[in-house]
Amino acid sequence: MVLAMNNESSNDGSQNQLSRRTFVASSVGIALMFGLGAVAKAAPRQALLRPPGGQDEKAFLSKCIKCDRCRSVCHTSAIGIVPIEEGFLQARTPMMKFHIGSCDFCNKCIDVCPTGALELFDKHRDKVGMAYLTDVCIALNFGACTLCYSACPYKAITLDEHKRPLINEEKCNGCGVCENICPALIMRSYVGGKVRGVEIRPISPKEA
Amino acid sequence: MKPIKFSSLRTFSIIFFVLLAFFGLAFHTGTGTLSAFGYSTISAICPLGSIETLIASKTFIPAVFISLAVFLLISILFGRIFCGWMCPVPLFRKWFPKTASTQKISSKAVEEVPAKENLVASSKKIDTSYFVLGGALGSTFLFGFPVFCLICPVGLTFAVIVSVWRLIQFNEPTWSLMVFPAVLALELIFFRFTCRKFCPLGALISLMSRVNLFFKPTIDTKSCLKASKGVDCSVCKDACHEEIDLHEPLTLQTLSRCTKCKDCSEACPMQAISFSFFKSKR
Repeated sequence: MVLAMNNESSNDGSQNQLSRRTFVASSVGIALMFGLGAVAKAAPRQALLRPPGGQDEKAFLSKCIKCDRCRSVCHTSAIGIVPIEEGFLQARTPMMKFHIGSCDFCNKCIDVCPTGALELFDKHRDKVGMAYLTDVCIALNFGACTLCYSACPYKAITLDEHKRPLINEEKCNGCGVCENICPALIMRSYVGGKVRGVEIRPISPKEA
Repeated sequence: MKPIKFSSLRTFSIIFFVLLAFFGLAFHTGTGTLSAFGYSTISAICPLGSIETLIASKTFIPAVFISLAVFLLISILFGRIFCGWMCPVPLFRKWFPKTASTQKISSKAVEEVPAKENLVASSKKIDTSYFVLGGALGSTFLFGFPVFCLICPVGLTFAVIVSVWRLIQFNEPTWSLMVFPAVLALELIFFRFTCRKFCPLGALISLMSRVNLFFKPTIDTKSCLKASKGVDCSVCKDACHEEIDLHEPLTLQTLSRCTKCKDCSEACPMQAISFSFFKSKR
């Protein structure tokens, strides 16, 4: 502020003109920043599967600086980055890609997060997401597939009398092992789409 | 042996930090990018990102404060070195040269005196970037997320690298591959003077660099053509991307914008400019 006044106090004509130009340029710059914030806030958003500890979306978005450390440190490559088409505000932030890897809760991503956007996570208490069967599930359609049942490290998937998987919502913590192993798009002839027979979905998306 | 030019040294330094990001992509090291890089629980966080997260989340994050303190320490020692030696944007800037290319000491320069006076005046006035910084922080406070990070040229550069890498490694075609480079190009073309006139990160680092004590550029008045013989030479100012005129009485305001790139001392025909560790006699 003091600087601005110093600048205005100069009585040279050309200087005044220049400071007016600075004023306009500065106003445009400030407006651009607020406009950018408003557009990003208003842009359509969808609930995303965050790495462990990033489930409170509003708190997560306020702290994530898109530095790439969590994605890089993930030894199973389960963490990917959000592409721009899934949200202007969320682009470049991390999201779980269970088609590539699954989470073993090593908590390295939480350790390396520089701003604490990923908070402490307890795999027995907190959940990354929740598993849901989809209509391409082989067991639901033809039977005989029990891969997710035998793969689940938390015994959250049981089989009913027809050997179809049932998901125990209390035990499931969204680690993604079932989605990662699901062969629904591999063993059947390709039916289009990217959804496997079981997929992890975000729980109760908190609106930011 | 011919001494290595500082501009090449700077390019090597910038490429080193870009390679750090590649290292993090190739191995699961969690190295990160310039937005925040580090090892294990230790990280060097971008100062603007730090302040934005503090404002947006309205919480006290100890690690962020420590990182900011370290950055201030670096500013005392080296000033605005980040902008010259770490930020990848100067690499692109070579493709968008300054308007009135380098002026030589000649009669031609004398004809352009009015234009030059204009430039002198513009170097005196407060830069727009400080207002953009204010706008970015205000917007961050209002909307509750780091706003400038969305279009930060540093972040977008690394976003492009990460997107291309993932396209190759995991076959992930996304619109990011088109949008991020487009935004980046837009920023660099429309704001040809991004670093000087727009970048709020540069503005923040300049503000922090007001406490800089060492490696300040100084002119040896005995060998400088302008100071000793009165020759109308402005080679050093023309070489400077921040348009700092070392012949004028240097204020904290102008000197804090120096990125220690040494372009001026390299351009000077008399080698009259030095960046000495200790304070000058000036």
